[in-house]
Amino acid sequence: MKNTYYKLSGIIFLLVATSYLFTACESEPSLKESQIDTSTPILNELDIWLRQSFVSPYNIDVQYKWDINDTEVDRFLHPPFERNVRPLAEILQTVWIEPYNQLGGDNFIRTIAPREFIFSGGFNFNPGGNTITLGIAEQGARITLFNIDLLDFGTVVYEEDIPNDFDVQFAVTGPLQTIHHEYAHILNQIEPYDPAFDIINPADYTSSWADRSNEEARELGYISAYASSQPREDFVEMIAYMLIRSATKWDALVDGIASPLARASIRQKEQLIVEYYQEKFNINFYELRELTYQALLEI
Amino acid sequence: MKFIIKNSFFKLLFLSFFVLSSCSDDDNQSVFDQTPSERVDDGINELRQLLVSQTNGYKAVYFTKNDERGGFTTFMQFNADGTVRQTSDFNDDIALQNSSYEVRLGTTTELVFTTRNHITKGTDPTAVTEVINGFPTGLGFFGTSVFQYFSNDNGVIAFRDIRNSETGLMVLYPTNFTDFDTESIAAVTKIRSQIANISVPLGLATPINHVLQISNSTNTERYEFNYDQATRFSTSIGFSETEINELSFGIAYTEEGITISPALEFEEEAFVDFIYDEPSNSFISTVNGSTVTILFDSAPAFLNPNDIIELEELGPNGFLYRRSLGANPLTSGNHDLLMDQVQLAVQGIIGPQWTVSGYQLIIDFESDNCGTFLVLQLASAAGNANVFYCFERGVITDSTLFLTYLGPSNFTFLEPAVLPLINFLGNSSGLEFTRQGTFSSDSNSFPNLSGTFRSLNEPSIRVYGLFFG
Repeated sequence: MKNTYYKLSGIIFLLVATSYLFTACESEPSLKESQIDTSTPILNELDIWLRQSFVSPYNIDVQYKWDINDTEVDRFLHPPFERNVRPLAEILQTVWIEPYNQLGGDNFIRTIAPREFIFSGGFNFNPGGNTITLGIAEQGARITLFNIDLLDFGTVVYEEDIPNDFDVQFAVTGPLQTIHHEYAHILNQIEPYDPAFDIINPADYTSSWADRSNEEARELGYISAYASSQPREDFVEMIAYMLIRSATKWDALVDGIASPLARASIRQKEQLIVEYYQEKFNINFYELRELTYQALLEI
Repeated sequence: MKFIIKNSFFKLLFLSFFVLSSCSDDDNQSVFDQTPSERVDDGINELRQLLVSQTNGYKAVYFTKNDERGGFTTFMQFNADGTVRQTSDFNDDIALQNSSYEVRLGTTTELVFTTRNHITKGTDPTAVTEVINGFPTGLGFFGTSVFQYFSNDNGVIAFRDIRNSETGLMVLYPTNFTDFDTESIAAVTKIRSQIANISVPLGLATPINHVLQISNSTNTERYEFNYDQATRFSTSIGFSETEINELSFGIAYTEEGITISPALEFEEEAFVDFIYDEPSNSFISTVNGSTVTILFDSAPAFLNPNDIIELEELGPNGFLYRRSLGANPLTSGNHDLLMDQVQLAVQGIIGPQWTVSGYQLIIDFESDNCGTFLVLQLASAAGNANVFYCFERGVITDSTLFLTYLGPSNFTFLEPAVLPLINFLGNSSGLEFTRQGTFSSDSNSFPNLSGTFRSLNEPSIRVYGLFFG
């Protein structure tokens, strides 16, 4: 009997509770249209071209309009002139995207690429005085390129041919080397390279790389001063150096190194890179170099 | 046990009643009558409307970081299509340019100049460089392209910079132009003319001292006004018997003169706007009977009695004046005229192939045995020569240096030609000496201590040079 009493009490309790559940909040407003502004922002001709040329085919956003959060907030940087954006974007298409797609397949860049490029107008000076940052690759998702307003798009020069190595940064070869360098980082983040590369000549890697000239670094078996900072930078510097030079130009650079040991180190690294591209991406690196160099000549 | 269960059941029922009835209609009161997104949109639209409401644009006065840099004026004409047209006084490139802007929600409503134009020169690191660890490093004006909407005071819009929240400020004033393109260029041209007015001219006949003078009915204070044209920042040094005072502020040029930030405060008065007075070539700010004047004066802002003591402590270290080291306004034009006379006279004696490249003055305060001497440095294609003239030991009396000439020690026949210089240094009223920090000229900077000597007999003759010691 008492069990019946408790069961009855429970039913009454549930009925009361249910009636509260359905009636207590009845005065809340019903869902309406979103209050968030999702309208299309104002797009100029350049924005439309970038959407058609990068966002639609490759899902890559080329950001040239300033957002302070895209770069380090403690640096004093500025947006680029609009007139310099499309020329650099077209170089990305012809010298980077098309050669990789031609050899790796139409979806190569769509599959392995940063989702965002940030263009910044001026130099990114590093604290300490003796270096600037040319580009940044972040987690395979974003590449930031600096000093695009200072580029002479019609000039192709190489550091080994001019007295002041820094002047390369005013020629088109400067950002191109940066793009190949940063993209190689992204490839490494997808497919690690052979650890054997790290131990070819590990003794002279140094954090004080900026105190070395490129020529001094080459005599130690590193293709550039920055390559002598650490193995992973060495790997991508090698790729960048090769992809902006013809085979002849590359061979001349390496053959010009006095130290036989240094030359051998660089050739050994070159071989590992060729194997890396073939094994990991089924790309013939030397064919890729020919395509990127020919595209560079046609800019 | 049963009692406990039964009691618990009613407790549960009682609590459930409260829990369920807590959803009653008692939370209808809202602090705002709009949703957050609506309020954000309103803030953005308010600023957008404000910017485009002035069809002939705004004059923006932007102090990028007023504890290290000065201010810049940019004229901006905002359009509803997201473009903005600008000219500015940042540098001599004043051509009108178009670029993009956006009003966004960041940490608050923000005006962002999204592509490059005049205002983004404030963030160009190459605008001001400094040698760090031996390398020229770009620092720029420490500006930004992202401005936080701060206030609207009857159409005057104030913005802050999140990085320089205490020291960066941009204020937009309606231009009231009728033709933006023509009038903005004319205004910038006029504003930039102030650069020449505040810059120290070189080679004037009389010595030039840039002085900031504060005066009211009871007090006058004088400061040595030091202005860096590249950064548009000034630091003025004042000296009293007990302390050294420093006044620092950034300067922005205006059509009428200059405006400074932060304000210069003196006995509860704040000075901000200075009017350029052409007849006196000075900038004057007057507030309630007190006046601050930035002027060029033949007399130094003050004489530091410690300077002459330091000269004595330096001992017989060479003071060098050499034209090839570059010009500095502290060397008067009359001094260089004197040197021209000497050179002409020397050439008259030994031939036009010789030039006077400079001179050294070594002052010994302990020896009369030609320990104090003048070395006139002569140069020619065939070689160089030094001509020596002896003085008695240096004597300091009442903060004035006295040098007494004894005679030449070589090339006696050149003495008549060099007499104007000898008389300047050995004049009977003595020499006034001032320390000037490290050496700098229009073409060189060295860490050597520098200073000036001025004739008290002929005050229009003053020389600036460096010490070797």
